[in-house]
Amino acid sequence: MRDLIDVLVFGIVAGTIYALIALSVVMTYRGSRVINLALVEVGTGGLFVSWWLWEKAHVPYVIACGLGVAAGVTVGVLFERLVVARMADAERLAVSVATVGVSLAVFGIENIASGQSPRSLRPPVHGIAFRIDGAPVLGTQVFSLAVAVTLALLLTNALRRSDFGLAVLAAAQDPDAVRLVGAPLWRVSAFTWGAGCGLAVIAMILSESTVATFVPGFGGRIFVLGLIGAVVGGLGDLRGAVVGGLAVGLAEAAVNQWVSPHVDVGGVSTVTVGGVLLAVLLLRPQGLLTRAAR
Amino acid sequence: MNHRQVPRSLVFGIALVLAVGLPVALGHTAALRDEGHAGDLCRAGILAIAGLSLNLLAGYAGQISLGQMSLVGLGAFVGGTVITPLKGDLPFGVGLVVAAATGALVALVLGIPALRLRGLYLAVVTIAFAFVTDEFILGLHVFGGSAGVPVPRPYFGHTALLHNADLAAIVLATLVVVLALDVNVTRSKVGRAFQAVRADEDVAAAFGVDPARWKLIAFSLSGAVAGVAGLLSATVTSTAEHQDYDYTASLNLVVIVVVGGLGSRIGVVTSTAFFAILPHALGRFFSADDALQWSFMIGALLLVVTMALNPRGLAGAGRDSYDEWRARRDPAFTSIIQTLPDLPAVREVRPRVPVGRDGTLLRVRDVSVRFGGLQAVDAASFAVRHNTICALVGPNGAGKSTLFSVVSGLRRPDAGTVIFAGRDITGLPPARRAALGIGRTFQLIGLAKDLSVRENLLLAQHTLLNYSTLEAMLHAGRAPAIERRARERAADAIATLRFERYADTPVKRLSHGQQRIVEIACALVTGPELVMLDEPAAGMSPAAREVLAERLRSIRDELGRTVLVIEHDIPLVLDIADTMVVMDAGRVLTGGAPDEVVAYPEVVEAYLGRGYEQALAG
Repeated sequence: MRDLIDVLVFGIVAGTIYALIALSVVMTYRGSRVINLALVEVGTGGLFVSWWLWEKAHVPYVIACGLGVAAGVTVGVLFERLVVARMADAERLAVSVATVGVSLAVFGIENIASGQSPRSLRPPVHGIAFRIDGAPVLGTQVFSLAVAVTLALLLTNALRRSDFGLAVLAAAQDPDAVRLVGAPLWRVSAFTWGAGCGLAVIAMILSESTVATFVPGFGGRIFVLGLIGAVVGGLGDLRGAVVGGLAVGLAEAAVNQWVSPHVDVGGVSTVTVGGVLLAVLLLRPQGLLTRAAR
Repeated sequence: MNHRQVPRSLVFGIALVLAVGLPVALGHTAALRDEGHAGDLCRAGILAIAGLSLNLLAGYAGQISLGQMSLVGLGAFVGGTVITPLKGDLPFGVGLVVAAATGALVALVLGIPALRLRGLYLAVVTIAFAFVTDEFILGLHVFGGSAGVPVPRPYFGHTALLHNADLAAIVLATLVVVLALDVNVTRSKVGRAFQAVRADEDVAAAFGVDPARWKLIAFSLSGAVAGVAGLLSATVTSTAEHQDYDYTASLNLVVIVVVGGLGSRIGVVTSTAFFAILPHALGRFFSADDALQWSFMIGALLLVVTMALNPRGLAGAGRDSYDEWRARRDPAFTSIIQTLPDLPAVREVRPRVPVGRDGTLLRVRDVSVRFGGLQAVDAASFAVRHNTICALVGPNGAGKSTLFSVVSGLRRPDAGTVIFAGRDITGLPPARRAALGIGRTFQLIGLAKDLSVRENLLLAQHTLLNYSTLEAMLHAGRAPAIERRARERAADAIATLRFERYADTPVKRLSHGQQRIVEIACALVTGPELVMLDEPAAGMSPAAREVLAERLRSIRDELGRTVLVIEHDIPLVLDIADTMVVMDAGRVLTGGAPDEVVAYPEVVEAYLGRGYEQALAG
């Protein structure tokens, strides 16, 4: 029982972070059919900005985080305007490869600015929030969960309720339809890139608050698991992304709890999640939730 | 081939001597006596080999891998385990073979998902592969856990090669061998098959290139080269450590290859040299660590700029500006063709297909194809007699092109059979049908657009080139002679078309009319028994159409071939066709001699239109 609760707590907390990353992957993918491979490094870059403001300039936590998110959004929008917009006719894969450049560039800036020494941006909550059947749940975990769930709900619902949101959702299906209803395509595209990067910053801030320290490039694994969550969920479906991310988080936690201690090798959870990805791609390439033919 | 006078083997022989000789000779001079400098040279050479391995896969075959360094790492760990005194203690040469085999085998497995997944999905799988390799495989106890595998220096006779300059000789020699392999691949059916798969898998299949087979070959070849790079790399660093081969390392490799130019070996090698020298150049301004970071940054930004300006990298940009310069210098370069040139004569390059006693070459029986809710082809049946011209007509959306795809094998029918020369071919993949003697063109041009006119004509002969992949890679055995004959046929075809000026121009640079002509020439060059042309007259001037009619007749009369043609130009059809098959809404309305068919009221109404009889009378 205690085991199960641990798995659920760790799985859900990590899973919501993967879900946020999955959401940002899907967001950008819907807008331009591109996987932004720089998401998590841009997210870490935003986290660095927040950390610097908080640690060095003594800006309050919430404001520092807000500015970090703003930095991420700026990078996303700039990249969309300067690169993606120019590559309208290029192969989609080529645009994804271009995002690799952004990832490495942000990684380089972080390294030059801060090196590999671990940094820490502590949220205003700490300690054990409560216990379930004796299993401690940390304040940071509750905090992370609350923010992530709020954001995910807000995104999956709010987009459906505004004209602009619907344009964003429609853009991936049919750019011409968006133009016809009068929403400027470039604003939709810029929004998806900016929002994707902004979400990634929030995800990295939350992730950092649960693991307590960060270094440049610490999000690589988080990105892969989030990306897998997005693909498992159907890579075009916001709700699917949330479910996919949570599923990946739970699978990882379950393997770490029940399998990893009994086998003599590392990385078992990575193998498991990779296997799930492959199985889904080969057996249900449209994703677990998406209906087959459209 | 007048621009390749010097034999390939001589060029690479000299390069090999230099690659070994120079580092050994310079090893005792100021340039390479410094172990650090010689080590840098080794690392640059290894990176170039790894880059070439990625280029084989992504640049030629179009299968992007974001986990290529994991293959390199597997070569390092498995090869290292084989030669380390703690474990296998086998000679270095055996280690290289094992490393290559490991890379090839793992890449082959990695290639299996690529048979079903394309583009971004494949990229995601390779990312996952990179993480699984880094966190799981390379951490296994076999590989010494976190300590990695200690790798000894190779021996030459009884002397261990302790100096990096000596290792540099091995690395550079390997680089030359890999470059030679790369050249042999690109100038043989192997490279053309890769390029065809990258351009369009359906077009590739119609040329007889089986996309699945060639994708897997591309993966394993790339993996073998990556594996070799891995063991070399672990030898230079003395230990195989997994962080050298992680996801970030793979991304940096992508930067090198993409900036240099996907599909250009010269670009890749140049770009590697650039990124090897860059940190040293920056070292004047920054600390060594920062200089390295800055060089990564510059690479990253170059990648973004490259992709935004020209996704084919520096080499691609160079090629494009050269083509544009030629186009300006030579105004006729891309003008629309008004007159049709002669089409190439068909040589008897394959045995003729025996036709059944009833003289029927192709029989389509009760074929149905459904796309979701749309019945594209509905129980269609017709037969084409040997040595005739049969025209398939009908309004847009009647299912003509779908039926073409069923005959050429790109589309599996939901019901019905296709019989070619008395043999049921319904279950055969398109590449096998092309080999049996079915050649086709597409409604939209079916050529590998990045390849030149000459290369497309060679690609079209793919099924006739019966040398093995190994012979192609070594440019040995049957390959040179068969390849020479294929080049002669291509050159003849080019001369007949009077396309000498465009022979080495990428097809995408030609006008639509010119592309159409090249495509028809490709369909004819192997002398297929059944020539299937999808709207060949589209975009041709009236004068050119008349010549086309003449050419199609001569395919039948002089060459004894059978032609199945989709065409909207009814006067042209009436002029040339022996039989006509009329389709509407997926059904075959009627078939027979053209004058009978046009008298059929349903046909007149469905397709030709009501005013037709008056027009014919007037």
